[in-house]
Order: sequence, then structure tokens, then C-alpha cells
Amino acid sequence: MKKIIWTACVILFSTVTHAQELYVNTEPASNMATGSIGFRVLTKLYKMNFNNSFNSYRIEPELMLGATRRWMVHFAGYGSNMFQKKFRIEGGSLYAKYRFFSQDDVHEHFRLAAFSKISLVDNPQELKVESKKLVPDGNGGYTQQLYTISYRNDEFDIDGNNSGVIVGVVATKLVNKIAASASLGYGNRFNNLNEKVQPGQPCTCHKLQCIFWLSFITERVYKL
Amino acid sequence: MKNIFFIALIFVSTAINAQVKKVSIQASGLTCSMCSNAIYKALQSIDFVDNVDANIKNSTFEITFKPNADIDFDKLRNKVEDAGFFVAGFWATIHFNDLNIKNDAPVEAVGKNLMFLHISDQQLSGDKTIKFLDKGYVSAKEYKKNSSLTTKECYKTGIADATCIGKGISKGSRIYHVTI
Repeated sequence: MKKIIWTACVILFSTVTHAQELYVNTEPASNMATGSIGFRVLTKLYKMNFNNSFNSYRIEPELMLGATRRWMVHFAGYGSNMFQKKFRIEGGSLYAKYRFFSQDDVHEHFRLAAFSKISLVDNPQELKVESKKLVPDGNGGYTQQLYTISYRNDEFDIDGNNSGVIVGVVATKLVNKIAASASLGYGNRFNNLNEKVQPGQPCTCHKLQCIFWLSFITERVYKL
Repeated sequence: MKNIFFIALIFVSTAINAQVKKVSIQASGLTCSMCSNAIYKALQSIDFVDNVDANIKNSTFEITFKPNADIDFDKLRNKVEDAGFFVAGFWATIHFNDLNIKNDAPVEAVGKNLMFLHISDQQLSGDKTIKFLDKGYVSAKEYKKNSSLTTKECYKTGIADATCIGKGISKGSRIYHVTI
């Protein structure tokens, strides 16, 4: 049994590394306690193809609030040096989750929630970068050559790359310390604040996503 | 005449003594230790609550009350639900003064209307712990299972209808279903 769980975790981990927007939908159906506040900062590193010499990064600070017994909201900001060499603030997002079904017992529960995220970002749709590379000069030496690389903002990623909206439902079954969750989400990308999606741009503008994941709940006892 | 007054005084003082000594609540739906803290704070904010003792391991909360306070069981339950959780078990330790109880028949005690289920007819004296069986006071599974204990409508509504009224219990008042 242990082996199966570990295998499942390893598979899940490798999915995380390939699917950029997975964490948007991997919020469980359970909410934070009413009146509690959470804060997290997510940092993502990307290898941008217009400059292999540095990895771009994006920082996403996120404020999470348990609003009522059924509602919770997240506010997130995005900032990166992905579309320019200097760090700049790109936009923000609002996430809301509504728990509409609960079947609770002491050490197990099953919950269903609906969620939505709206994101407004002002990144460009295409970026051209001049770069230099060394090419053989024909005499056994090398010479520098200028060339242009373009980076197109085609990928669906409303957490920083583009403006858009995601709606979906999530189900979580918790038994003791293991929670199994599944979510079904639909995402639609809109024009960014400063630039529209270019005509003919082969962007992923809609996305339907179904995810299954396991999480382990660790518990530490604090004296109140 | 003086004697009658004296007896009356004793009667009043014992009536005050018959009161809820403590309540234990087991909460469900907790996924973190911060959840316990949220419930603890919610319960502690109630005006008639004196002290809350939290046991994180089995997510139970032992609540004691301010002297002579009017204790509202529904308010305790609502506070747990408002924090985002549910009540899976609810027990009250009450000091009874020779109260005669019958199965599936309403009685009045500590200013509350109680309907004892799944018991043999008996007299309650001293400190006894009763378990609540109403909707929202046990898990949904347990509530469904217990529905075979009574056929009365007030088990579903928690409100005394024609079948649940008794001495001092008027139609439309709140009635709690309990067992020992």
C-alpha cells in the first residue's frame, strides 16, 4: 500500500513540473477557517528561449482570507523579469471559492466547492530580443553575429502571462491524514491590458482541465 | 407562614443549582491545528462562556459557563459552524434534581425542553452527562441512523409540534433530543 501511494506521489510531482497552471486548480474543496488569514509567496523559475544565459523568475505573493463559513478569497500579485530584463509588476488576480456540499465525520469528510479566478495582466503578446552568438568565421576562428529571437506569449497561463478567467468545481475526500482531490476547470484567456491577442497568434485561448491529486495533512499540536 | 417562606427559599436555591455544568463538543471537518484555534476563539467569544479547554488530538472542546448564565446550545453549535466546521458530538453535564424521565416523552429541565430517546424510564439525580441527537449535533450519518428511535416530527424540526408538547412545553418552542 505504501508503495502505491509513493508511486502516485512521484507521478503527481512530475505532472506539477510540466503543467504550469496546475496549482490554480489544486486548492482543495475545504476552506480556511472563518476569519483566518494566510499568506504565501510562490516563486517560479523559467528558462526563457531568448536568453539562455539567465533564468527568468516570477514572484507571486498571495493573501488568503477565510471570509465566511462557505466563502474564501485570495488576492495575488504577479511580478517578473520574463518579458523584459528588469523586474516589473505585471498584474494581479482575484480567486474565490464557495463550498456548497459537506459530509463530515470526525476523521473523514467529503466536500465539494466551486471556484473562479479572474486575472488581469499587462504583458506583451510578442517579444523580440536581439542577441549575439559566436559563429565560425571560416578561418578557424569565431566571429560575433547579431540575431533576433522572438518570444511569443502563446501559452495559457493566467498566473502572470495573460489575462483570463477560470471556473471549475473541486471535490475533496479526506480520510485521516490523506486527502484525495479532483477538479474540473475551464479556462478562457482574454486580451491583455495593453495588447490584444495578435491575429493569427496560435495561442491556447481555451483550456479544459481535469486534475486528480493526493495530499498529506501533517498535524502539529500547539498549546493554545 | 415563616416556614413556608423558608421552604420556598430552599426551593428557589435548588432550582438555581440545577444547571448545566459543562458542555463537550467534538468538531468535525478539521484539517489543521489552526482549525482548532479558530473554533477555540469562536467559542471563547460567546458572552455566557467562561472557559474553553481544547483537546486537539480528538478535536473536542470542553466548555464551562459563567455562573447563572442562560446557556444557548444552538449558539454554541452555530459558532462552530460559522467558523467553517461541523459538530460531530455534543454532550452536556447537567445537575438534575430528581427528574423523572420517560422514553420519547418531553420534559423540562434547566429551562430547556428535552426529549429523552433510547432510554429506560428512570429518575435522574445528581450530575449526569446527556448526549444530544438533534440535526447538526451529530454527524449526518449518525442522525440518519437515530431516526428509527422516534416517529415524532419534532426530531426533524427541533420545534415542538402537537405530538411533542407536554407540561410547560408550548407548541412552537425549541426542543432538544437527547440520550444518556
